[in-house]
Amino acid sequence: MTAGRVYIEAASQISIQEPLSENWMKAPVVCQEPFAKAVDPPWGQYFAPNQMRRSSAYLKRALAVSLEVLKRCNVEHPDAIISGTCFGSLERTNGFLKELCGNKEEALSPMFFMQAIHNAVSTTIAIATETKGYNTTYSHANMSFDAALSDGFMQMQLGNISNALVGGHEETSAIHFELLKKVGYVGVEGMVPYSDISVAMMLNTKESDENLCELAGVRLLNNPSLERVKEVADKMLQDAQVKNIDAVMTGANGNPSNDTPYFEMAKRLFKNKPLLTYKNLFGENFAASAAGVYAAAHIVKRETIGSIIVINRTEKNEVSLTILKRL
Amino acid sequence: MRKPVYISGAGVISAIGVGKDETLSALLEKRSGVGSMKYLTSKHVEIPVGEVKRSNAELMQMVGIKENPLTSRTVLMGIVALREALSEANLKSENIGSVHLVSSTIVGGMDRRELFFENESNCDREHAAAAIHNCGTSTEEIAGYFGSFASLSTVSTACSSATNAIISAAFMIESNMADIVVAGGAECLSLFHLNGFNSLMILDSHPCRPFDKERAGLNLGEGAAYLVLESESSIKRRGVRPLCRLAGYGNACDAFHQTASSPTGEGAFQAMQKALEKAELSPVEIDYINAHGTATLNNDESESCAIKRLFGERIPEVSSTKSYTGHTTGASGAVEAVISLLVLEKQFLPASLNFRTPMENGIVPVTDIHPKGEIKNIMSNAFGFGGNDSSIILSKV
Repeated sequence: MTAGRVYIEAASQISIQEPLSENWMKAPVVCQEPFAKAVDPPWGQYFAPNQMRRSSAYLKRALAVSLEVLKRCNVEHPDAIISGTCFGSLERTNGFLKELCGNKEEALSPMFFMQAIHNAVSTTIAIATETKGYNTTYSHANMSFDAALSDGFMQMQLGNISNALVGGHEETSAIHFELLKKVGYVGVEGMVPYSDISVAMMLNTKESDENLCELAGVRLLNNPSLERVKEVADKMLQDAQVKNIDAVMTGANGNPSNDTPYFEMAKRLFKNKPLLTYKNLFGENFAASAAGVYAAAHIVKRETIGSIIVINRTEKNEVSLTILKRL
Repeated sequence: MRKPVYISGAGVISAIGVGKDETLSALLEKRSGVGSMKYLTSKHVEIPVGEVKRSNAELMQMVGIKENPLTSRTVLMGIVALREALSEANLKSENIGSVHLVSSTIVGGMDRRELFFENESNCDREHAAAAIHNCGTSTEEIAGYFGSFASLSTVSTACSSATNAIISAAFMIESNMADIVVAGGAECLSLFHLNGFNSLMILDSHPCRPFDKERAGLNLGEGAAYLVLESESSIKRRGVRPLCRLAGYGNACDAFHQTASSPTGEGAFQAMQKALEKAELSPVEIDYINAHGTATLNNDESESCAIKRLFGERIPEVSSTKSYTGHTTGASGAVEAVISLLVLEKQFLPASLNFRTPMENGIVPVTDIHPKGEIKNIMSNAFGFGGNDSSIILSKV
């Protein structure tokens, strides 16, 4: 397909690193807690206190990081707002369930319900920025952000839109930390922290030296064999005109049951390529892959590295491949 | 030129029946599925609901899976509807590996978690796994019944979720990412949903009355529906008969309020307008609108205004089939797309039920099932909280 190119113009984050900054590249915050909350920026810079008074921290993070990216790109109303979140506002969902069971279905807070509904994230950004364009939210386990990114990418290939604010947003909760520990997803010895994330990035079709990198391909696969991953990756690299990928960004997090399949895939498909990780910096959660693409975009921009393939996978072997290319 | 997208199969389950045939009979006989609560155990038994008339045990038996109290009703209904859609499109288990699935839901398997939430802190690993269900879990479980689809994804945009799943699937076909994508949604009644909508005070204590002056809110329903979207080359290669064409789609955000639509229905207006543009149709070419028509004070007023702004003096026939199924929320866009497909195939109008008195400046819904002329193009609307407004157009082949 000879569609136009897609770029990542800017990308920002709120996580356990310094918020809305790329200082993690020079001076990363080291966090060794099994469960850590995000370092929030002073909200006052981004919205009036009454504007977000009743909103969960999750929605505030999503809005602040989105406003930061819009500001960096000097865009008021993007053509599309596309978010990925697995659990939406987890605190609001758990709050509503607590009331529901505790009050025996009486006197419930509609605010908890409203903010628990997962599309609250994309629509909150739209309402705050008065953006009436395409707006959607994907909620598919830890492929939520990847599905959102793929939506934006496809629509640019189709010429439906020329820019899109794409985000990955996830809130952690103490209740979920305990539940996730029981199923062995987090809290394993030697593992990175379970933590909040909010990442936003602007995709556009405009060639400019100011862009961070080219987004040269995104693909989602369900339960592929290694041969199938290789076949798809090779085709993507060919389409992206990348002869040799320079580095592989994996979702390794220190939990062997998570890491082994990544290492196996890298060893078999991208032999002798340097492996990069991001969850050691940004933690683990169901939107962590957004931090992977965010980090890779900044690395491609600032380091002498030509291309990175970002691999994300779920414990049920859904796999996403994202190729970022130096301008 | 844009690549055409065809629909080669569909499946549905809702309060008015299991499968397309039962659904069609209910619509032709003007038989609503909304009534007293039987399967959901809630304190609010006085609230009418549109339940699928099968217990979870009966649904498990129907699809032949082992009885398990932790299997969500959303998943069970999803399997029933997806099975019908795949079968109609002549897709067998050996084909699944090249078929993609985009499903939608709002709260997925919440009907299970809410049952043991109070004891969750002491629960075992199996219950913990059920407690951390997410929207994607229900998609994975529905899909897993059939094998390994080529890719999976889940859209969650409140009451427009399934319509946006269909739109997302269309992008995949148009951009050559896929040849066949099944799209739709599944949502069961849950205490979470019932009490959430109840806390917003938008549930009618009577059968809902879309576009009626006396309307007093919506009835919650449940169900699942899927449509098989397919590229032209794949239709030809497989030698299957296209049922209709997804001629256009539009998505816009009202960006007005988290739970209310703007009085002028700006988001709805833009979504419908984009769908027309994409379909390269003028307003007069739309023969029937399957409205979002929830019967809340706010929606029907706002949707009426948007339709009047877009269609001017020549407003097509409009009805809301939520008076049959109740509002199937995360599945509604797909349930209503399947109903629209039946309308195209069988050439009838699904008459709005419970309509007596027109609202001031409102849409007057059609109450007679006999169309005045051929129905070629149908618009189906779905609007969600926060102003996630979407519209699709289905056209005869």
